[in-house]
Amino acid sequence: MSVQGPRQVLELAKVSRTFGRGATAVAALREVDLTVSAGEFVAVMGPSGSGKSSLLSLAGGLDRPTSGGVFVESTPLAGLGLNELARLRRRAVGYVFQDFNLIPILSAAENVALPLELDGVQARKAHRQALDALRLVGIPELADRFMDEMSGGQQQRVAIARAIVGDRRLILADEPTGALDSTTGHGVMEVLRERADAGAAVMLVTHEARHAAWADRVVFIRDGRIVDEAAAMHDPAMLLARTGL
Amino acid sequence: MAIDVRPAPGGRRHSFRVALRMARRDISRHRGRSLLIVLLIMVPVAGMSGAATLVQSMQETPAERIQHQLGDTQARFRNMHAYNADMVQDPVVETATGSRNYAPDPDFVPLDPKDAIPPGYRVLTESQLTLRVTVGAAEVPLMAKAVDALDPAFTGKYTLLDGRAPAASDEVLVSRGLLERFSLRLGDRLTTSEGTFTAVGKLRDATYSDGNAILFLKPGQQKVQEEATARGPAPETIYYLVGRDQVTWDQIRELNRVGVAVLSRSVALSPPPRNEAGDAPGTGYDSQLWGGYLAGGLIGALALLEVGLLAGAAFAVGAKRQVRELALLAATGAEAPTVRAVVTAGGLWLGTVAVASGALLGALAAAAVVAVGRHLGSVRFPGFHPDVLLIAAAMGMGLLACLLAAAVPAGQVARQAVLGALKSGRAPSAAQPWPARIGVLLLVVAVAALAAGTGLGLVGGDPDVLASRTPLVAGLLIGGAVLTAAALVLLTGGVVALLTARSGWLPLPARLAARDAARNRSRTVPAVAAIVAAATLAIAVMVVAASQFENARKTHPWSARANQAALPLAETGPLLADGAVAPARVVDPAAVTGALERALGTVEWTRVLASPVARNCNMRAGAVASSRPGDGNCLQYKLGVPSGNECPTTQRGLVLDAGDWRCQGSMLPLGISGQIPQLIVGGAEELEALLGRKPGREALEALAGGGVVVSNPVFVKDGQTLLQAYDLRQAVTRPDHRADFEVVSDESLPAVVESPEVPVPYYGVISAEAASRLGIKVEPAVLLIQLSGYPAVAELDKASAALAGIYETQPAALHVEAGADRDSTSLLWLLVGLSALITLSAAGITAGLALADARSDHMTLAGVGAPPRLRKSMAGAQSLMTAVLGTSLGLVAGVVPAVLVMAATRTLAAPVVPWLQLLALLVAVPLSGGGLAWLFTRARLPMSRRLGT
Repeated sequence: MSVQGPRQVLELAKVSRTFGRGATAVAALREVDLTVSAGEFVAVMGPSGSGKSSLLSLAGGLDRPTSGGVFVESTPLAGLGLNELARLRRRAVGYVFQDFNLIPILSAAENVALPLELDGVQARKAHRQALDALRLVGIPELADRFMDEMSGGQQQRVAIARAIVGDRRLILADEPTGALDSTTGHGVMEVLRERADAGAAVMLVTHEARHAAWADRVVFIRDGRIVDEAAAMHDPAMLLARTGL
Repeated sequence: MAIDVRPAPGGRRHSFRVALRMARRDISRHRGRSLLIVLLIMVPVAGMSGAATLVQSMQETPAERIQHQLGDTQARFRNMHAYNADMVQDPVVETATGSRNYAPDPDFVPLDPKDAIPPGYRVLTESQLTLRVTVGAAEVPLMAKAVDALDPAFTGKYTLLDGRAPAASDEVLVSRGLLERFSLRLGDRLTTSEGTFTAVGKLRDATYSDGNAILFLKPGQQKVQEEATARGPAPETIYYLVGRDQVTWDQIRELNRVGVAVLSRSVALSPPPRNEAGDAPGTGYDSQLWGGYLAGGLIGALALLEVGLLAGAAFAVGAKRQVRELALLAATGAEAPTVRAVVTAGGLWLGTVAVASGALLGALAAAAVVAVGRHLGSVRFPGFHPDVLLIAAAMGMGLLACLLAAAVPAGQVARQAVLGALKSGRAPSAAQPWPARIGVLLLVVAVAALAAGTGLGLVGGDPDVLASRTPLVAGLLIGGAVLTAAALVLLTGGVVALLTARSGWLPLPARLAARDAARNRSRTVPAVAAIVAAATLAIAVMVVAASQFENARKTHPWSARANQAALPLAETGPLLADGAVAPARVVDPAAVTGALERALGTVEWTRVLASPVARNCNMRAGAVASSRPGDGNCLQYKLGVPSGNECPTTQRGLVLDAGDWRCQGSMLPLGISGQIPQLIVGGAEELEALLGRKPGREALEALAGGGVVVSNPVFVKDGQTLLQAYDLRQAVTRPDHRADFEVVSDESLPAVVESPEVPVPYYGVISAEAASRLGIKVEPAVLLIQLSGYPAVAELDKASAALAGIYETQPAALHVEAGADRDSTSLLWLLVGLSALITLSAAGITAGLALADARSDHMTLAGVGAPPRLRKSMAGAQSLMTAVLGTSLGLVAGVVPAVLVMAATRTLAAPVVPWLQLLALLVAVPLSGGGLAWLFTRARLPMSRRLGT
């Protein structure tokens, strides 16, 4: 009888990404191996230009690796066309950006319902699910507001709601608190933690130790390579000491 | 568990709904840009819809025509003026007649129409006569109709607008135009040469505009009618048949054989097939109409192409502004077609609104024009006839232009890397190689089409064969022209990169503009492309217009020398019902000269020209009678063209070589215009009047020696000219079915050529002694009048009114020769102005959009301390460069195909390139564009929040 561990949601196998060619070539990632399992919250830390955001883009199918393989729920992204990648993003991957990246011409509920509607879900049903997602992030009353009628924290909660709506199993967050004050940022981290506890695989890119402290595992990256890895450290000071940030 | 990445059922439909919603929201957030696009599409669609509706509304439907011509009567019978039994009328327009035999038949006796009317009908008559009314010192003619206009059978033909039916013998109905012309009101009295009448009712004649001055008598007022016609020929009477029986086409053919023409309600509403209409000439109207539609459609399509490019620039800017939202959409999981659909859905929304409002606006404007025209009593618009098919075609073309305009930037946006757009908020500017490749391919195809069209149009020799190829040649050349413009548009990016590659030596504003153009091609290319399209169209039109003006100047049918007029001195009446000519009346030249001098004040001199005059010539008497019966004369003279000197033409009458010396001036097969006789009898003074200079010694010697002075060397062979006499009563049909007269005698005379400065259609001058020796009966025929300048319209009207008091049986309008190029030069400059305006509009719109797109760069420049003047100069330099590039490429794309079209379809005109005007356009447009951009670029940038970046 074999004992199965937690299901792997994201796997990066010897992934490299190089931008440019010849003398101007820049290696953003070099043979990175990384897995994120269901219910796991992984934080990626590193200095600016270390390759954190490139890693996230490859994980979400927004970019393709120069070499190596990316697998989401065991599905190799290399074999997917652009349209299939788009379907994968809206069905399995939720993306949270630093700048919220809400579509300003859509209301909060419409932004959240967008992946579902694009996937053929009836508008009314999608709206209901969007309201559920907004309820999960604590702002159901803002459903009909537009981007310019909300604060930064509210916008980021809408972005998280958009990332978790439907049956998303992988949430990728790129500096989601970068544009928020500390209180609001704390609230956002609480939501991400809750999603991980609910079974989603969460990968957070950050250079703030106090946010990485919410993770189950912290991966340290420098010059495109994973240089260190640590289990949960709930004391940010220890993390800072570890990374030297 | 692997993820299912197959399309979801109904996903495409839902995605499109999302795209429609996003597009609608984007439109409402960017109302200015959206309104610009709507207007760009709406205006040409409104123009095309309105024009199509107006053209259609100008056409009478068969039912309307019959109602206007016949009222409720069954048919009308009239004299066909036939001179043999072979003539056939058109089934719909009974006055249009044709025949394969124009030779008069001496035995042919036409039947009086009233004797041809079948039994069983009530008959109404209508006849037209001319009364005279004294206006100031002059007597002017007044049209009158003797008809029972208020008979119920004439419902729809005559309508009483105001007043009442005449009750007394001196009461009449009048048109609105008569009341206005003589400043009368209903109840007022009008004195004519035939009596004084009281106008009691205002009548509309559906076949004339209300503005025409017409007096309506009743047939009961025959005394007036008889008095009016006592001194002239009996007016023609038309007989209207009221009854139930229809008049069939077979009956009409029978009636044609006895010289009666018929308009039948049933035949006109259901005309016989063309093959049953025999030799009936047809009006050729449909082909003209379709030709007009084709030309209008072509212009409309080109206008929509231009508009599509302009709207494309607006969509491109919109898509660039939207790119971050679209990238977010893609990051959220939208496929490329969905991202594309957001932009194209914008085109669909805006296009739908634009074409619907354009069609509505065009139709409403046309309806207003028709309503006003009809209210004012114009017969130009028989009814409001919106053509659903043509309007739908205009709407379809507009919507297609809008969708294509949106599709191109949509495709570009969909191709953009999502991540790059999200990171920078701007699309990557890496140049794509495919536009250049497709551009080169299109250019090759365009050159091939132009070469094929030119080859087909020029190679082959026989102009008839070449003319038959004209549709194919024109199609190839116009297609080649459109492809050339499209190729240059696609190559614009490469050309921009090439031209801006070495810009380091330029001053800072120009260098910044050049770099900006090279690095941001997605904003430069649409701007240049729109100007290329506008300039191509404008320049091609200018070349075609210049060529046609030059052709018109070369082939202008001079009726006399410039500012000259000629009036007849022998007044002949119209052809009478029995075919005879009314007795001629001699007009006093001194009275004509005096009247003109009083009316114009610009008469330099007048000269009486003597010539053989046709007088009292009974056209149906046949060759058995003398050519000089009593005081009459049927002999006319012309100069024979010796064998080998004829202008070589094809079977269809096309000139083989326009440069041939035998085909110049009046020898072109264009027909002769003007009153100057073909043979003039006179001396040195007459020659000087005709030539505009003193005649040479040789000419005077020839006259003195009994010879002839001719205007054109084609009449001379071996120093001799053949003077041919022909009898007006001996018409013959030429092999090409044209009517001519048989030569009854000829005389060879020594000849000298003395050409006038312009090819007036006079042929030859002989002395009075020579005429006497040859037995030519001569009398004063024409008064040649030289004016010091071309008179204004009011002066011409005044002169015509003065002449109306002298000429009795026929109105003698004064036709002054205006010359060939009186208006063409100013028209060409007007065209330059219009072209510059169109091109500048394109430059202005696209430059404005490009500047709006570059606003963030300008803010950056301001942030690093650039003075306002630098930003203004940069904007000016950008517009200047865009306009120079666009107009230069447009010059190539416009001139080359237009020259080839004119050269290859030589039946139109020889190609002429108006270099001066083109140079003016090339200089004016960029300088104006640059200056306006400099002027309108604000020195101070407004404060704004940069959202999401």
